[in-house]
Amino acid sequence: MKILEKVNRYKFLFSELVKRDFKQKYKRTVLGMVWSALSPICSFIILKFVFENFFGRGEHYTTYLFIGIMVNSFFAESTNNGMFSLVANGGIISKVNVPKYIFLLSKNVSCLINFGITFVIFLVFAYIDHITFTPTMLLIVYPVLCLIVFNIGVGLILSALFVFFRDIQYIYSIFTQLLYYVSAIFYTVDALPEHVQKILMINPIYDYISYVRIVTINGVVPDLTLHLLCAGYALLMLVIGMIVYKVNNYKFVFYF
Amino acid sequence: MIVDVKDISIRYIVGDFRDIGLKDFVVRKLKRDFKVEEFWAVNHVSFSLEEGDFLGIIGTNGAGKSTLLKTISGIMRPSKGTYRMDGKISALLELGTGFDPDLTLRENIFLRGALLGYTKPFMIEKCEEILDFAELKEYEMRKYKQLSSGMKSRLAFSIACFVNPDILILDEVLSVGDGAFRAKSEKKMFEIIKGGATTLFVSHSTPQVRRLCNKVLWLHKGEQIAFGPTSVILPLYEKFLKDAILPEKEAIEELIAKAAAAPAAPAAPAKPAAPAAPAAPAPKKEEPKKETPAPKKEEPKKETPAPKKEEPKKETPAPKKEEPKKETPAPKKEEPKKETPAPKKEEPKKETPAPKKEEPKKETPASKKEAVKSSEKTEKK
Repeated sequence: MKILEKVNRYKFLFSELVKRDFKQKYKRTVLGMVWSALSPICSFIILKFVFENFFGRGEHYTTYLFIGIMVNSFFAESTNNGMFSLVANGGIISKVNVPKYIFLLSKNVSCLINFGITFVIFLVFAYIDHITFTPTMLLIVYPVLCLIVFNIGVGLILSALFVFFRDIQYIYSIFTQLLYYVSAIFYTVDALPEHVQKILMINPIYDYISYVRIVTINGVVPDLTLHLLCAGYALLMLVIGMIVYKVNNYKFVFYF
Repeated sequence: MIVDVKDISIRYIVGDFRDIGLKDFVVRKLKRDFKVEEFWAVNHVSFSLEEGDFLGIIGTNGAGKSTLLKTISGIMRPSKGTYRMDGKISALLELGTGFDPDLTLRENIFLRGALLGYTKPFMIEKCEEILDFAELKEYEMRKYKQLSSGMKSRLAFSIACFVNPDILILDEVLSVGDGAFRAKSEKKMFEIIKGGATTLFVSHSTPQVRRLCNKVLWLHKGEQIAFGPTSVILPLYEKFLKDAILPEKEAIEELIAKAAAAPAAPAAPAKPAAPAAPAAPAPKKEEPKKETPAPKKEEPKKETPAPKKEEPKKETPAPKKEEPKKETPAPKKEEPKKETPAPKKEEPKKETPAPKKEEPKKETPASKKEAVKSSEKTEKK
């Protein structure tokens, strides 16, 4: 199939780009890769300290909070870095014929690796928080996969927009901040009225976070609606992103 | 045909669209103040190449050469027209793309190799060779930013030397490094080309084009001025460089047809007289004149626009020109003088060395002048 052929052809370039991104990110930093793990831990500690009194009545607030931070930071970092990927590689794109989405994908892989590290720390925290590890937890794979696809889709859209309008980085920054507050990261939703809880479901990040929380803390399989929402948002974003790239593929080069 | 380009035109979008923010964009769209200008970088270019051809693309700056190559490599898309390329393409449009200043040389070599389409096992195997060719063995683990610019160019070029494509596209990359390295790199590129690759090559160095290419495509401000064998087009181009007058299409076509029809015409008549006066002012000029010995002479007059005229004649550094008048004292001068009004005039004059010239000249548009000149020449002769 054409896609497999392309994957094969560019896999060496892809791996080299991922290596380059990693080295670039941590050059001249003292802690280097430790930051990937340290950043979510620091937010977690501060948020726990501040909000435990207000929302920590329920069980496993630690895990609840950490899941929120982990998922949200994966989404925010992935999409934010992805946004700059096209323009940052403008020099290469304007001189070498490579598929343009390869730069976005390599940035996403770097962020996925960071998420992996954070996830391991999460398991440690979950253990400390006396979470029972059931086989249902394996279902975490589902929202993670959907989230990867979702990030790629959003990244495609953002990176294309960034080529044409540089303001999008500021707009998106504000957007992610606001999104943070409506994703129930540090607060519980039990106290909120029914219809508000339903409205929250429109937020895809909330959906992904809820899914992980349900399979981890509650230990049950979430309902079909949540499954459909997770996959639906991911596919929707991916399709829109691909269309945007297809339409503008040859226009990017004029803006570098 | 390995490469077939049919009537390609490429349009750039310029104007007030770039670098304006979202707010301005929306406001302007609402106010219908939206102005996007177009710029046709390449306009109706057509040519085709067989396997093993070496095409030299020449033209002044801003002619659209790099844009054309970018389109052929797939980076841009033509706004009009189609093209077809059969086989694996390797496009070296810029030597330094993909290099990251903070990575070591070795890492950069791998990254650049990946961009060129090499496979990982190939890179592992050839890394040493690449460093040796670039004479940078000791710097393998140093950061790229610590190299001098000459070293950077050498490294970039030596990585590019190991390509093995069916179609090779080079955009002014054969002029890096010092003299010794340049010779080495030309030799190496030749090996690649001898391996059967069809090559498209942009250069500003006419000796290089003469030396390497068998076909030439001449672009000027996006328009295709000429496409044909080197011997026919290059002299016309050199003439243009001197007097800044573009040749006319009909004349060029005539010359190409002539060259195709009478490829072996030794142009004997003109030669004998020519050798004497080596057209001192500039070898090039003479060449156009000299063409006489070569079959071109017949064409010369037609060439009035002058693309071809010189070629056949030029061959002999001095054969043709001298004949007419020993133009040496001012072989060119005569031409320039005459030519200033129109390139053709020179031809008529030069033609003198070559029998052909005189005849054709009359045909040319500036027939009057030519006629005058021809008469002058004949007198001179």
